[in-house]
Amino acid sequence: MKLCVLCNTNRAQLKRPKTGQQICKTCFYAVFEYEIHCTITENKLFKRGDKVAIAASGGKDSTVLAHTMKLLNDRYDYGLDLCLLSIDEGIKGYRDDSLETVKRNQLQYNLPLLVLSYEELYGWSMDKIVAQIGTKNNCTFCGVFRRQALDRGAARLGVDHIVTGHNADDVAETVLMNRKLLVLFQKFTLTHFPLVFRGDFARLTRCTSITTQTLETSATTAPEHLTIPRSKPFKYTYEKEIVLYAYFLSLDYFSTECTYSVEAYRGYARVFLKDLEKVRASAIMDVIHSGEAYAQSLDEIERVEAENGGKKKKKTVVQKQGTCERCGYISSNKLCKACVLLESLNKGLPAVSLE
Amino acid sequence: MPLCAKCVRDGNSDRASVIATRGSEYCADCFKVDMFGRFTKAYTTKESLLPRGEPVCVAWSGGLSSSLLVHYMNSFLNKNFKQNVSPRFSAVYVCVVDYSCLLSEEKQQIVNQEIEAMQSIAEGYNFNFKRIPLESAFTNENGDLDSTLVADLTSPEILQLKFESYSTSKTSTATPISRTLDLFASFKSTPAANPTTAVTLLNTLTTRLLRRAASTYNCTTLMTGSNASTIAAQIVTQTALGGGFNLPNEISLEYKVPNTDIVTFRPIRDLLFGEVEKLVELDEIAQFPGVAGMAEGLFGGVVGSVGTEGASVAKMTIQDLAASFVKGLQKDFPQSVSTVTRTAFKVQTGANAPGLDVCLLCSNPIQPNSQNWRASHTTSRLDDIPDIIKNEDGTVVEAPKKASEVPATGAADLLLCYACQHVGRDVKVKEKLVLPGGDWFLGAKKDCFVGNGCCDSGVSD
Repeated sequence: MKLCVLCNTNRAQLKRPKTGQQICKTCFYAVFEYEIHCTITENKLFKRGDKVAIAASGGKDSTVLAHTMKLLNDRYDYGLDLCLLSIDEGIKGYRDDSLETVKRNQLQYNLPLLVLSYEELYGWSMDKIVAQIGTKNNCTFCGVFRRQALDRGAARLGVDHIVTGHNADDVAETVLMNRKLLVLFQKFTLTHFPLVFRGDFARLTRCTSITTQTLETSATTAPEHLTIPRSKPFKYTYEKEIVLYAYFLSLDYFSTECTYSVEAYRGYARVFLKDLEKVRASAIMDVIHSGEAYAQSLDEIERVEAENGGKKKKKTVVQKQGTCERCGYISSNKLCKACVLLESLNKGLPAVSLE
Repeated sequence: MPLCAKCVRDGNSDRASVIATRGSEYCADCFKVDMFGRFTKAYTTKESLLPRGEPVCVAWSGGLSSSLLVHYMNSFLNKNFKQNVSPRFSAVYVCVVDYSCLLSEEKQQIVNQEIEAMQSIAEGYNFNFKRIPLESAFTNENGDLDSTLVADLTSPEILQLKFESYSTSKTSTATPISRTLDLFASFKSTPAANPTTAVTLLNTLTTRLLRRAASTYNCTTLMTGSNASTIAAQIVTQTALGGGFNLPNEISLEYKVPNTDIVTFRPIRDLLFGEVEKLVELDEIAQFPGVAGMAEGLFGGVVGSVGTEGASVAKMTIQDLAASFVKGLQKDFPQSVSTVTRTAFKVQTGANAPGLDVCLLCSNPIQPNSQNWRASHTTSRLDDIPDIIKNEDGTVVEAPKKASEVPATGAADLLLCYACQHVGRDVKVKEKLVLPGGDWFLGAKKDCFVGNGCCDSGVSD
């Protein structure tokens, strides 16, 4: 019998993906939970008394997030007021089933839940959108609508912070895509084509940051619901470990892929990252480490500019912050992105591109 | 058949195109002129660090790119001569790092023959030819065994290094070759091997030996034949190895190596692999597949393209995966490699800031505060988890962490950059680990091992 290398007492039951150590379940729970606690405290994600919304889809990441946030809040006495926030995109056979999981999680963890639907917010469900535009670019619509819906939901709940279940694999994939490497394999999808040619270091910074505030919200002091930071407590947590944790604890989660994500753009990035992980388990952390160094690029450029007395000012146009004249959401243009997309849907011009 | 766009535009002729690249069709002559122009343009950048009229060291791996580079150097200096201008470089040293000691006898013969052919080409150009055996990493300038670094076996968990001086080496039965073999054997265990780390280490030793050669022959420039495709692969590799901080130095046109007078120069970094291939074909440049492929399959990895039937991805190296990825990228989107490299050239991570500590192995700058980054995000011991204490008022605090067992001195992690920390971590047979310990290799880091330097980890002199 092989003993756990951490406690040397129990039988080793798994090989930990992040370190390759053969450990028992009890030790796995301990290190898994403690690492997330460290991520939260070292990055000072919250302050005592914060009201925090957990973005809950019913999938493995958000279910484990809800479980660990509740557990750590109790164990370490963070003093957080937790609640669940779900967005119903209106996808029959997928979201309706996963929302049932979220509702069960609500009872299991005894947390308040708010469900906001696209239908309610925009008058369109994803099923209707796909019926009109097909499956080619539907992720564009879904992504823009969800981002805004989360902000609106958070505002309705009056929270100080949103946490999402983005894990280390997600962050590493985004780093690689922002390096303009893997996105080229996405057959130039409408959503991500612009990323390839932008040299968008600001976006790189945002994707590697553990806490982000959207570009639209960061420069405004106006609407109270638009300055809500989002954090990724799982930034350094491997997806495989999240799955193992959920499996060992028999957490109640929904594991079906989105009906419309057959051509999801992350596919190629994920395959490459998984290949890297097979070669070297720490590759995911290593990619994130590189990503954080690239993100410093922006700081470095700004520092050099400051040292040069602003002589080498960037030629970027400073966007004027305002609000969407139609829905009131913060936007640097007359209409926010969601309203532009809605207009195209309502006019029957679904092929309109973002930026 | 498509015609050369430039010739048609100039109304000179209607010559047939031999290559379609960069959105245009080129005939052989126009293509060669354009590509050579790109090579010479690399010398005319503003604020160039390249000295004029001094010796240059050209790294020749036997591959297409570096073979083209040697060919271009000859053309370039001939052009200087014909134009009656002072030569850009006073002498050219062509250096080939020879991995023969790691090869089978059969392969050694092929490599020997090819290196002799390379020598006659270089000498035909009036260049100095230098063959640098890999095992010379363990010898001093006289060819005798030099000092080494070995694992301190008193530290069972953490890889701690200690210095073994030249005088100790003299009594040893070891040879430079046996030490080289031991070094790579220290990464092998049965049945697993760690090919990625071994390849990284081989590349590191090669770079360090080339810099040493440049220094020995008073060369202030070290030229390498990296092309856009190899640089794109390098970008993926560096990112995946965690070496993002040093990426700008690895791919820039010019890079001043810290603590030396050497500038690494990559004059054909804008040429795509397809273009290099075509130039080699048009100019009938000799190819040396045996030398170029010396490292292939050396470390037990199954070398093959991703997706190839029977090839096990798990046994490939990250370098293989990255090269395979870039190859596919180029095939599907020919212009994408240029986009990737152009974007990466903009990245500034602060790696060229003065005063940064350098890595013991690769001698590249170490990212500040990066040495404990991995440990700070990974809990690999229960002792690292503090107990929770509940106060009388109901508040909760964490007990102070138990004293760490990580030694503060001599630990490899403290001496290595983030990417090279894998080398320290992946050693499987510590008894066999032996690293070069000569002054040329350690530089100021020697203070970490002898005297009252930063790491003072004991001397077995």
